[in-house]
Amino acid sequence: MKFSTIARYVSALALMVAATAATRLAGVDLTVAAMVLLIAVLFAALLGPGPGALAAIAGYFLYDYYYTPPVHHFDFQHGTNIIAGVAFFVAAAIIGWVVTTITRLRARESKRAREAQLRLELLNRIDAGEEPDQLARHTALAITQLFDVRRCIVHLGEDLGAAPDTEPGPVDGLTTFAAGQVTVQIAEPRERLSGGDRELLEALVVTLDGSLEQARLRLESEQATIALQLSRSRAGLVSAVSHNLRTPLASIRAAAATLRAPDAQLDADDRGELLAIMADESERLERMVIKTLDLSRIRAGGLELEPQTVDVGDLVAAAVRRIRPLGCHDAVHLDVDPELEPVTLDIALMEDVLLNLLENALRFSPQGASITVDAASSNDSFEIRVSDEGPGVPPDERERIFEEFVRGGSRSDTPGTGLGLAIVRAHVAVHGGSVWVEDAPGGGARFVVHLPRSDPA
Amino acid sequence: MNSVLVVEDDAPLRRALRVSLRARDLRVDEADTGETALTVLAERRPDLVILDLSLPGIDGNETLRRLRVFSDAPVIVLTARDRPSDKVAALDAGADDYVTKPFDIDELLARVRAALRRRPGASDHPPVLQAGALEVDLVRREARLDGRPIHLTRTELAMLEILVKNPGKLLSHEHLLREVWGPTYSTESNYLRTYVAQLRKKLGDDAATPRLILTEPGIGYRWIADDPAAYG
Repeated sequence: MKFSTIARYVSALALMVAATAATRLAGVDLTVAAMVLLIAVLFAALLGPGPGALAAIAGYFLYDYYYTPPVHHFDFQHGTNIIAGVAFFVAAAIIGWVVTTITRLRARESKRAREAQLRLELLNRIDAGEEPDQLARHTALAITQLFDVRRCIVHLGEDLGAAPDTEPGPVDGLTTFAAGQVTVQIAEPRERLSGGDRELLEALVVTLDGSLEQARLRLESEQATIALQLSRSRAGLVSAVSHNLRTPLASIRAAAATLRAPDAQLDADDRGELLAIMADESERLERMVIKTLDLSRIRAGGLELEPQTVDVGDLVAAAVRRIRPLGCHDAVHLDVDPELEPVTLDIALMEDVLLNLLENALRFSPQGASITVDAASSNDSFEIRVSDEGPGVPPDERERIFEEFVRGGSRSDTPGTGLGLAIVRAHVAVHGGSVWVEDAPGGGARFVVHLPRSDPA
Repeated sequence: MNSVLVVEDDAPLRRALRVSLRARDLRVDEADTGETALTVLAERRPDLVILDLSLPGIDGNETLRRLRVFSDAPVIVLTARDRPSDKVAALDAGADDYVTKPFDIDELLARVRAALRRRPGASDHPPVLQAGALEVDLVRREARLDGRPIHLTRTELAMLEILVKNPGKLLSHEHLLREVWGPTYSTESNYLRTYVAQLRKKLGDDAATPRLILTEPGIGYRWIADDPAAYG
């Protein structure tokens, strides 16, 4: 018996003695004394049914001894005394019953609240994508605490969690609750689980199973959405490619057919122009095909980085040399700090990035304008920036122009492929960096390639 | 000299078209956006418009709708889009014909010639239209093959008349249904298939090697008696 229990019985007894003493000191008559003692019994009953009963017995004896004639004698036959005794017992019983019921209800509510909280917590863990074995372990632990069971094993599908952490001992004699993929086995406490607890556990198991199923369905639908988006983006690429290859092909076919047509009246200039169109557009087609292949190779993940260490200045100069055939080599103005630390990256890919950015800048540059390439560096990253003096990129198009086959409003006679910036973004992403466009200080567009510094491989 | 407005944002294709059309004695104006096209159209009043559907700014279909408000010049649409629905949308927006990129320049020129022939005011229809052994008498409302009258139902005759009055022009399902059956039937393209099949049979034409009525699957029909080769 716990100390608090003894204390309650002692308190009940003390209360009755004190009440009797008070009535004696006040010198009240036996009717008033009966009421006072009755009230004392009521208070004692608040301490529990046991203390209440004890108080009723004590009250009965005290009343009989001190108040019913013959006073200072126990006389159990007296009618008044019997009525008082019954009253004491009935009062104690009623209060005791009320108090116990309230206490039991309060305990159940508190368990329900804790169970609801546990359920919520489990849902959150499921939502957060917690690993099933972790989830099972956590559930088992929570059940042991909540229901005061000695041992709990939780199966979530294939995964198993046990609490307290013991060797997986014999499971005979364990009580099992199951719903769908969730099974909970518990070693019942000494006082077996109450009906209410059983219901709570069953509800918990059902909820857990439902939530896991929902989480699985959600995951499946997310994966299906991703697959759909991927296939849409592939379909989009295919349709964009076929769409974009058609225009240069149309020019070539039209020029060739006109050159061959017997009824066409062409002078030398016309012939020259048609031939030039055929040559230029064949080249554009070739560039498109190569870039499309590049892009689909990156998409397929078949690109392996070959990092090498290089000076930024050398890298930029190499890219500038490569655009020489496209003209306007003189327009490129290099401004690379020779003190810059060398960087480690895939040289071929990064040259491609710069080449595409330079091509793009050339396409949007007015005659005689210059393009500036500069670089800056910090401890953990560096930037290469390509600025032009063209019209710039309006803020609402700054993201879109990096998509495939989205071309800015180029009025140039050498239209782009619509793929260059998509390739730039893909290559930079492979390096773990980012690329964006902003306003250049003197107007025009400034493309910034931001790359993390990696340790030389 | 007939004049053509070429609306195309791709500079090389625009140049190729300019040279190719000029070589056939056509005057060529150019525009690289829908907005410019509308201005040039209003100022220069070209006899025909060749219009790319994918333009920056306002797109081809929108340009077409705005252009139709004030101009009835025939419009041939250039499109890289393959889907019949895109072509139908362009025809419904007021295009007369379409050519898919990459196109055959001779085919385009044949369409240009056909469109110029039937452009408004170019000529009134003669009372009797001839196509080889076939005569369609618009006054007496009858058709004759080798001089012998063919028995046609009223619907068949109505359809034949619309076709012969628009030589070379691509008539969309919706257009034909509206003209022959009335507006409430504009989606019943099954009717069309049945009647065109009967009409072909009575005229001695053949769907596989058409000389008179060409089917553009999913889009409409075209009267090709003048120049069957141009639509091969």
